[in-house]
Amino acid sequence: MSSLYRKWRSQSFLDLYGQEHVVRTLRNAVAQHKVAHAYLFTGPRGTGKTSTARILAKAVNCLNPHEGNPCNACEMCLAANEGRALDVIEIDAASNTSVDNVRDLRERVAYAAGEGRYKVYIVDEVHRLSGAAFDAFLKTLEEPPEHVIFVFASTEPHKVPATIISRCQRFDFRRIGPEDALRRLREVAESEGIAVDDDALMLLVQGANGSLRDALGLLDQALAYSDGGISAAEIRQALGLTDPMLVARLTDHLLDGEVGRGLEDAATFIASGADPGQLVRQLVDYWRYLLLRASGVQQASWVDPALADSAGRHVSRLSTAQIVRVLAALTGQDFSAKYNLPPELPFEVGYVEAALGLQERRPAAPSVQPAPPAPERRTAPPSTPAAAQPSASVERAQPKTEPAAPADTGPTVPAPIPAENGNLSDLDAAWAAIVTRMRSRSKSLEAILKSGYILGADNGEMKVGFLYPFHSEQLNKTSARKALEEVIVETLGVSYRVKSLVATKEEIEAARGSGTVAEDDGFVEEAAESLRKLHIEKLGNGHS
Amino acid sequence: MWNVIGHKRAVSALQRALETNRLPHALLFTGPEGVGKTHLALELAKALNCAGEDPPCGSCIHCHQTEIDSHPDVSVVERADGKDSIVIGQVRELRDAASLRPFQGRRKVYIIAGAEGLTDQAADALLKTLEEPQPQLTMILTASEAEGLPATVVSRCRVIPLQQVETEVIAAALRAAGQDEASSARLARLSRGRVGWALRAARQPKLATQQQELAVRLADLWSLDVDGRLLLIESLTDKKDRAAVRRSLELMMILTRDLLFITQGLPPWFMGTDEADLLRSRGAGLSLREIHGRMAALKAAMERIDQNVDPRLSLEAALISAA
Repeated sequence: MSSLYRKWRSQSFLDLYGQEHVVRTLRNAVAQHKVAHAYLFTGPRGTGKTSTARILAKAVNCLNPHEGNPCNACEMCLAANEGRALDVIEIDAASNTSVDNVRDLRERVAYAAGEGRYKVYIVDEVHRLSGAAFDAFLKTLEEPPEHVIFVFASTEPHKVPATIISRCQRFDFRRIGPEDALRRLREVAESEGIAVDDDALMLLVQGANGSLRDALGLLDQALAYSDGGISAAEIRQALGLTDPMLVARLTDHLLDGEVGRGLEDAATFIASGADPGQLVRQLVDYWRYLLLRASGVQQASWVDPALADSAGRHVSRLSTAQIVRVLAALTGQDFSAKYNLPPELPFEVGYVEAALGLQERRPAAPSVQPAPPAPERRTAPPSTPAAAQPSASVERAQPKTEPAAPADTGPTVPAPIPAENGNLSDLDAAWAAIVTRMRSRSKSLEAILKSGYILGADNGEMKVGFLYPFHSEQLNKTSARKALEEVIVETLGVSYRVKSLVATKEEIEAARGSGTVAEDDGFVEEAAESLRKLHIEKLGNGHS
Repeated sequence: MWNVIGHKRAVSALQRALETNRLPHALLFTGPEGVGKTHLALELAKALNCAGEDPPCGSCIHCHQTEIDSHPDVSVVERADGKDSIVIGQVRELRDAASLRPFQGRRKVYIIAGAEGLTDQAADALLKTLEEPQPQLTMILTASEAEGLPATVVSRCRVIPLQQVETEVIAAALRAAGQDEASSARLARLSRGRVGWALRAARQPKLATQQQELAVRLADLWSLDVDGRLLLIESLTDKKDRAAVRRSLELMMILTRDLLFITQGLPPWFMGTDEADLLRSRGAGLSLREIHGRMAALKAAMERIDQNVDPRLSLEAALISAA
């Protein structure tokens, strides 16, 4: 009745995956007889800390090591593998936390190793030792007898005192990458005689989230439902994974504004005994993938192959801002465990919220198949190549420089502004994009630009108006003007000379043909609104 | 024969694991309160030690002793009465006892019920036992959700998720227990998938009646103006009682969710036909956005109460802000 994760615990440095940086150093240390007297292994669960500690303990005492790797055949290795080695002492610090436990250990440390060269103390969950226990350790740890090696392992290194850490060689174990996890699973599956393809194993790897123990545990779980071979479908069933087609369908309904059908589909699915939490996780994973795709990131994430087609279709219908809104809605629904609520509630509230979030700016959604950047041109004369080309290059560069800035929550709209015949179609949006881009160069200049307005842009000159002379003067400095001109080229793909001037409110409004000049950035209004709310709530109290 | 109501999938998985000798040494049953997690764990404990045919047979000495909580090799660790958590002392005790061989049965079975109550220290102290217990030990943890436990604990367990039991299954079980057709259906619906509650309500009819009355009166909630809402709540709940406010919020949320389903043309889950009509007539005019706003307001109130805001204040703020 042994779990796969115990049966297949790594027994030599060779089958320790995903921690090459640790393995190389340790093997060299053993081979060159330069083993440190104290190690600290840290890292997330299931990444090989305890396994490495045990392998190291074997390696230093192995009678026949090969380039620092234990042979797993000599008397010493066999004893260690069977857990009867006298010189490998494992201590569970989480249940032996007190200073007395450490005192005890300290006294025994002095005695020489029984059979091998070294006595190895493996102290797991070391962060749980009490403060006094840690202190009692310090002297021993700094200058232990020649024959003693301490290996500490912990998932929470921030709880280990600095005085301990500074006396140890520290190794940070990484989460196991998908390739390594897949390779290990493949190996185990083959040795166990399980017929399973890589797509199916990849589902396990995804579920394991960087922990090899979790991955093997999931494989175990999938095996419990099958005889011999496992397909991707069976793994989905065994792990309670949602049918990827449901994820695609729910997304379709969301985009079509058919909330009721989405809720119905989900309800049917959940009524069949599926786990609603898993449904949300998979939906979020999928939308995260859409977000990466929409931001122009290639190959950054794994998506269920069954969803590859629909992802392309969905991405073309969505803006980054919309995806961010949907993700925020889906992920923001943790209900307190103190309430006995239907487990599908987080999904349902999130789904409705996501649908409402998509509706908000529905007209702005590029629901048309994406053509070159042309948001409604009036009697558009064919754009000159000079104007078209730079704007196209801006389009490509955009996602990289402006990752996932939600259009309505961020301060600005970083959409590319195509310049037509040297005239800008949307001055506000253009200015907002310029100001945003300025941030990475100069925060102080960005702050100044925020109070400016484009009064006009033609004949290669951009007039920027300010209400106050101070702002205008700042921009008249050569360095500031140069910086702004460069940013304008980067943002719009067209170069302008900048002219900064002081203008009255009326002038600005006249130039821009609208009355939207705010004397502040909406702060006063916002404050008034929240005061109003507060007031209402207070009144409510007073009444009751 | 497993004496379990519902959970067919989980039971068949466990049964299969037993037959193929692949049952892991550490399991975690997750699911909402009252669906029968601890009960299933005890059934599994019976199956592991059962000496009869078709384990768990329910009649051999092992099954019997487990049933009446006197089997020397089966123990349930849970929060001590009046305590909020399972403390490290309890885990140490468990660990020491668990390192011994079984006394009478084939396997020792330790059940940690409500494992989200483990303190961080207690959870860490459990890790070693959970990962590499002595060969004749099976550990079963129960929790309402895996996310409520440290990842280090979950990673060492096979997670078996249990869902709320289908209404028909509960109704059938109640009929089998001697309830008449109508009240079986009613109790099953009111139980919201919690087998434990349904069985209790079958013994204490008052429980169900209260629940139903409350639901009918709360159905009016969103059709009233702010004053009316406050008065209604005033008459229903003792607003200083944190637990009572929680139960009211819970019910309001469930009713609002039913309203959502009704307005979307879907069958409600909690309300019966008559009440659903009532709810429909009350909430017909609400838009999707308005319903969502109400759910969000209730959710915010739940969170505030968890953050120790005055329960009365939180509840009233929710009712007012969802104008």
